[in-house]
Amino acid sequence: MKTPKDTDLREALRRKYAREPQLPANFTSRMMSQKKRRWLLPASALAIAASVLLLIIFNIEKPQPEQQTPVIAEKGMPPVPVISDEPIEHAKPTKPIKPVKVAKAATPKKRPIEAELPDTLGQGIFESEENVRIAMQILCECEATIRQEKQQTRNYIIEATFNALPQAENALLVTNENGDFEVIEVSEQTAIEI
Amino acid sequence: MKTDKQIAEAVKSGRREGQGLMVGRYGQEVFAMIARQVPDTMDAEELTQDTFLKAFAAIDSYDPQRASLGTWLCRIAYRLTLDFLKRRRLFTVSIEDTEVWQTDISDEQLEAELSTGNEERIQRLELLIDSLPPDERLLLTLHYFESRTLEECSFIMDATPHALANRLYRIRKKLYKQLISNYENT
Repeated sequence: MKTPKDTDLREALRRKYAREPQLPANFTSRMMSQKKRRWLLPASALAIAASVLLLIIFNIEKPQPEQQTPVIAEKGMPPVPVISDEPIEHAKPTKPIKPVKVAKAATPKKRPIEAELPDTLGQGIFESEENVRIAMQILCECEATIRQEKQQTRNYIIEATFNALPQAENALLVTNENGDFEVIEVSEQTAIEI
Repeated sequence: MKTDKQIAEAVKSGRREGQGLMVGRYGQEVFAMIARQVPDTMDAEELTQDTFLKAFAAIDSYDPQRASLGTWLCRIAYRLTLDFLKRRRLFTVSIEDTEVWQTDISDEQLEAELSTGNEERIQRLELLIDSLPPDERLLLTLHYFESRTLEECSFIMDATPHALANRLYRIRKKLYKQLISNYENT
């Protein structure tokens, strides 16, 4: 393919671009430093975008208070201890319920208590009251017995002390109206009769 | 002195030395080509920078068998420059004047008309070049001013040499027509 001479056109171009624009002397070093920054900019933008994305994801995954479903309701109420006649060693251990964090913050819906509470609960309460009453009664009886025993012991001690001490022949150990012991002197005849 | 292939290998291996060598050797050439089309020097500098950054990233696609490193860089620069001019709406697509095609003039005649050595014609042509769209002005610059072959120009502008020869003919014809019409007006 033949290239036309076109000397006028070549001369016009030569004059037009005679003063060739010069690249700044520090262009290479400036470019290299900017190159680093150019890579840093997308990297930092990417990091920010990733952070925002993570925040969004976690916000979506974390249930809001109004969206929270009370987990305790799904699992059912924890078993209420029932006073049973069975000995403790025969009772089956209840499965421990794992504490659920959200259950504290959650406001569980109102549920009919009768529907979920066990039937034996009331019975258990009454039985325990009866047991307490019996226990109190036994305790009172024990206390009375102890008091009586205590009094008898005291009497034995006083009698032993009276017998051990040298007394007059017509001296007698008697109890007065208050139940306390008293030593009185009677006539010889009365003492022999007693 | 390192060859194009050695520079390309150095850039491929990610060495700053290779990148610096490439910019040092071809920076001025690329910048000059861009600055001829882009009026603002800062824009031209930025486009030069973009050209090299793109070249570093796409160094694996460089084939020394197809073109020299300088030509390959000019190809990248050409695309970036045209994109820039389009974004800035500085680029005007040349609309073929039907009158130009109607002008019956042979290639030899055209060559003779553009090779008169007339000072007035040269000065007029200098002004007319400014009125050309950037892609046409760039073709004239690459072929006439930088003395690049049509094959090189075709690699840079991503067109066949035959298509570029036709385009070059049309540009010359258009310039001649405008030269004639200027004379007629005066």
